[in-house]
Amino acid sequence: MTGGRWEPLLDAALAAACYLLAYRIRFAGPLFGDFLPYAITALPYVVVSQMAALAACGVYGRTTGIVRLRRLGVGTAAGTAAAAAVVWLAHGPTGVSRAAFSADFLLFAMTTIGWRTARVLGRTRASDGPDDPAMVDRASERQTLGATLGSLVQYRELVRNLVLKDLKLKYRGSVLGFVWSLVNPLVMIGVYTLAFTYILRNSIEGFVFFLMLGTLAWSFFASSATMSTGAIVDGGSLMKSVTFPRAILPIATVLFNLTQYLLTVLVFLPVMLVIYRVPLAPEMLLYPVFLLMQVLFTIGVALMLAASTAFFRDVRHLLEIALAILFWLTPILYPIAQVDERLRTVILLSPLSPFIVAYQQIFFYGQWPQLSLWVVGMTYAAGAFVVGAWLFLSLEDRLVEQL
Amino acid sequence: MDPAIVADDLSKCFFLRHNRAGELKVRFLGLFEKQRREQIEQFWALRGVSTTIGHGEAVGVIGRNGSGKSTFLKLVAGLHRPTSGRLLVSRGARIGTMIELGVGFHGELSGRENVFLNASIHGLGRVEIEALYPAVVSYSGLEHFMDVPLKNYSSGMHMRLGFAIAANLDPDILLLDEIFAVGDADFQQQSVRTLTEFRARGKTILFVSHSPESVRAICQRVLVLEHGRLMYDGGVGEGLDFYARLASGYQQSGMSSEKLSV
Repeated sequence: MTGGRWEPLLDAALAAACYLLAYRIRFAGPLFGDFLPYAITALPYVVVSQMAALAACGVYGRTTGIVRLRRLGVGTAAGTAAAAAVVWLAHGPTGVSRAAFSADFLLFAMTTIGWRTARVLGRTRASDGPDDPAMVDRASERQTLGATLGSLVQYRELVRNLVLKDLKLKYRGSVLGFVWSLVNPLVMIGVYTLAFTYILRNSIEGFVFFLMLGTLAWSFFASSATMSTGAIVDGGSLMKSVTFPRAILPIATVLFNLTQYLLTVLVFLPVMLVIYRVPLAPEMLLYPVFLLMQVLFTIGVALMLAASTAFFRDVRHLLEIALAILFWLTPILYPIAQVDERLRTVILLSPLSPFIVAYQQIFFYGQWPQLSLWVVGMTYAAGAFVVGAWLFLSLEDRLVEQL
Repeated sequence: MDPAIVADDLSKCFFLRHNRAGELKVRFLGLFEKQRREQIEQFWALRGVSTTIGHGEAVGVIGRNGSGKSTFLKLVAGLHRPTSGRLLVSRGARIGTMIELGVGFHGELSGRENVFLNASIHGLGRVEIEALYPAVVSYSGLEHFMDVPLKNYSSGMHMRLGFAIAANLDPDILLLDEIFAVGDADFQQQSVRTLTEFRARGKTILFVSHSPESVRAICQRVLVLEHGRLMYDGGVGEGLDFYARLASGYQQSGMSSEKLSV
């Protein structure tokens, strides 16, 4: 696959856009106006060094697949580092905002990898040139994104049954059944209330409400990710004897966790709104929008984890560590406003932050979510979904043989 | 006759991995000690198989363990990709598989719940399954056990339920692997009757079996595989004789039939 001439042009445009956006995210409000001139003067250096790094890493060569993905990753990282170095040389160390450059790197890597993956996904055909329209060649047959999404509709009964099966198995035989799902958050509320009124005293009013918003959304993600590592590996006998789009398994896992999360939210949100006397605000209608982004993001991550666990069983253990770190990098137990200003951008860029901070702004502060949450959230959701789908579909054929 | 399945120089190679590098530990230790490194052994389950199976044919696939019978079925089902060659399967054909006993069944769920789960794995919607359900139950003869968790079923009952679902899904191509290994004489007669009906209705059947009687009862044609190669393709009587000679030849020369299931 050789790229057209517009490929570098698109990347250059993205480089410029990402850099400006990164500045916008780092310096919110009036500060942005003050820093804009610096950003504009540095822009050419940034774009040139990033493009040079991409070219040097061979992104525009004849590569595809994982190799190209790796080159893009290295290229964008090296490019951003080079850009920071050049700006340092030109403007001195004070001109370099580490936070802005890390934001720039994340956005640039996500968008350049994202559009390429999306293009590959869109181009893959179900079968490469069959000489007989009445027959399918098993050797060149491919699952495409379109076909997989379409099959989600065809197999909606399977998705539903898988989700129901997990729900039934979870509660069958226990006396309290679904009530158990509410006990856990209830205990959390109690513990948090005690801890934050008597031990870690906190002056923020209704802080427990704030905590619950983050904790529930976090545990939706964390348990989806953890369960998805087993979605393919533990589905062994099914995978070995029936053909169906494998992507359904991790997707059903996410939907099962989503169902549980929504049931809990349905019970707790109204209660919390009443107890903490939160006035209803029109912004609350934005909740489904950000939830949808989080679901897309989670599905993308689940697809990546499910497929990669089949090849590397260590993924499970690595994920445990990653989740423990990520939990503290996400503003769940602390408001993002309390974070030191230089670190704030980094925290804001941690994968779950845009969604969780948005929920807090919508419900706790009754605000319209700030622009950076929209940008980062959409980039993460689209990027993770596209890359996850591509990775899963390109490994799908080989999954059975790895069990 | 229209072909339903065309294999053209079809080969499949499995990579048997010793010391899976899927674990970081293996990768790490492999840096220091050579024999700890991942070793990949190639195993050619099918080599250069070419054959054409027409719509409405019932074909028995016989051979010793590890000869590639199941691999052939799995390739047709689309569970594995061919390593080389071509394998054409008629587009849009519904493929029914009975490759493993009670697949996609969950022990904690009741018989009824399992029928719904299992039928939806084959892509059916709820309305279709509900329409199908009475036929499945009466065919399986398990009316009184539909609310019992599957873990309390015997293996014969598992098989009955699995076969009842597969038979009622009305597939165009039916792939069967050793389905009569369990199940009583009653059930065997019933399934043979169903398969003969299928054949009469112009469905294509690929039938892997070690039992000459079942092959004779169901098939009109036989493929004999040996070490992944197609050794014989033709009439049933002659094919079974050929296989019997092949098997006894090995016994005489003292070669034991190795067991390899991939």
